[in-house]
Amino acid sequence: MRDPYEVLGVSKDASQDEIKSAYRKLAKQYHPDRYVGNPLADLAAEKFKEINEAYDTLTGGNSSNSSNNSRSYSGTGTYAQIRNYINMRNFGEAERLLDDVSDRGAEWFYLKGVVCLGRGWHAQGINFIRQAVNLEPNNMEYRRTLASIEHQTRGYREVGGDMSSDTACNCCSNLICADCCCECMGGDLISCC
Amino acid sequence: MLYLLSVRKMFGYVKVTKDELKVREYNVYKSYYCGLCKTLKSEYGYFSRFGLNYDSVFLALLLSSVIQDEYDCDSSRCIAHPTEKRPIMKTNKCLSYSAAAMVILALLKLEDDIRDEHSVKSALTYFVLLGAKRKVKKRYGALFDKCRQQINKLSELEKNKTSNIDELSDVFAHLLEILFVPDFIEDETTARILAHMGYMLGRFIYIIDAYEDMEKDKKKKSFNPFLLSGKEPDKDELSDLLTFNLSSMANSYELLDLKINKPILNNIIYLGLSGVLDKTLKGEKENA
Repeated sequence: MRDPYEVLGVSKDASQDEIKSAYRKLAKQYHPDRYVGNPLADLAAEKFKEINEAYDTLTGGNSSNSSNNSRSYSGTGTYAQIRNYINMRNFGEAERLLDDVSDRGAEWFYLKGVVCLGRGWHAQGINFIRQAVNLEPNNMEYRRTLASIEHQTRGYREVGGDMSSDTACNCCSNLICADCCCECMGGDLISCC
Repeated sequence: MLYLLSVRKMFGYVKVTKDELKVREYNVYKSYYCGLCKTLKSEYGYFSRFGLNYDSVFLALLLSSVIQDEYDCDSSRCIAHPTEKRPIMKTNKCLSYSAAAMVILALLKLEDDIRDEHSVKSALTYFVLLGAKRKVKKRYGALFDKCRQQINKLSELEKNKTSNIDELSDVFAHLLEILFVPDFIEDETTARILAHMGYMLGRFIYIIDAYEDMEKDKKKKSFNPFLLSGKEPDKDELSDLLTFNLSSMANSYELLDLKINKPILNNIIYLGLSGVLDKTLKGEKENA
């Protein structure tokens, strides 16, 4: 096992708080939800596990995140077989089986969508998953996948937002805030508003 | 020679947001740029350096970050900057490979233009680059042929008037996927991650390029998937799709074990690319 301090990217004399915040950041980055539809999900899962183990070693606790996400489907139906191929990232075989199915319900659209996402065909993938959600609005699995796509998109923009020091915007909004405060107290900072 | 500049435009999407870089980081970035230019000249002749673009600088930065852990810089003058000495990355296998990848892409783009549009300018530029072609084919013959196969597939799809954006961008994406994994990457996990990043970037570039070229293609009556589909693409939908595309690439990138260049690569991936996306969809010319 790698040095847990190195895994979390903290120094040997880091406080519990520092360890916790480093852990939270990494756990968010490598959370399985961020890798739904990504063919490298298995690598992310390994990393996620390593982070949780490092955290547990350093804090002596049990991280809440250590869930095991790789289920294997033991059913015999075609869909169970397709899900197994998807888990093995054999999208070609999964797609071949899907195309042979003639009775196409919500689950078909969902699995087709997951296969498309895995292959990188995002435009179709997202549409298929939307269709699955429309057909069965109460299915949590379908809705979670769709939510995860939106979550990933937002997550990417947030990292960019955190990196840029967009001072012009902050500066204006801070001024307006300050002006409001002043006006509440009876004064005025920006005389025209 | 001006025409080679337009090849450069076609692949110019992957660049840094300069304002958000530290001066030190920007200097490192420039040293890669200059190093690549110098490598091009020494390995593929004087004219090849006119095709230098930011995308190949990105490839050089990325490959360097996974296989080496130190910079090896020289300081010298060059023809574009004769008055001051600048730090220039010494030619190494990453720079050398990125230069080859750039030459291959430029040649294939020119071949494609000659075939589809019978462009005289392309033919002349291609003629100037024949020496470079001979050299690149000698060293990277198999790679060149593999890439050409993808371009042939793409032009086949275009001939059949396919408007399925997933299918079209898939072919171009495979081209970058191939180029992103040079032989010297031995670690299998690293190779998988680089391949996926190349694939996702290829999709992004194909789609955004098609969108940006809509007006031009309409005038020239050239192939364009958005024009073929007959309806104006929904900007919000396209923005969501491309952002998801980029986020997928970024998530893969986070799995890499980077030794150097992380702040610069972060800047390109999280700020540069999303900036290009936003500006292009707003209709502002990014590469004018």
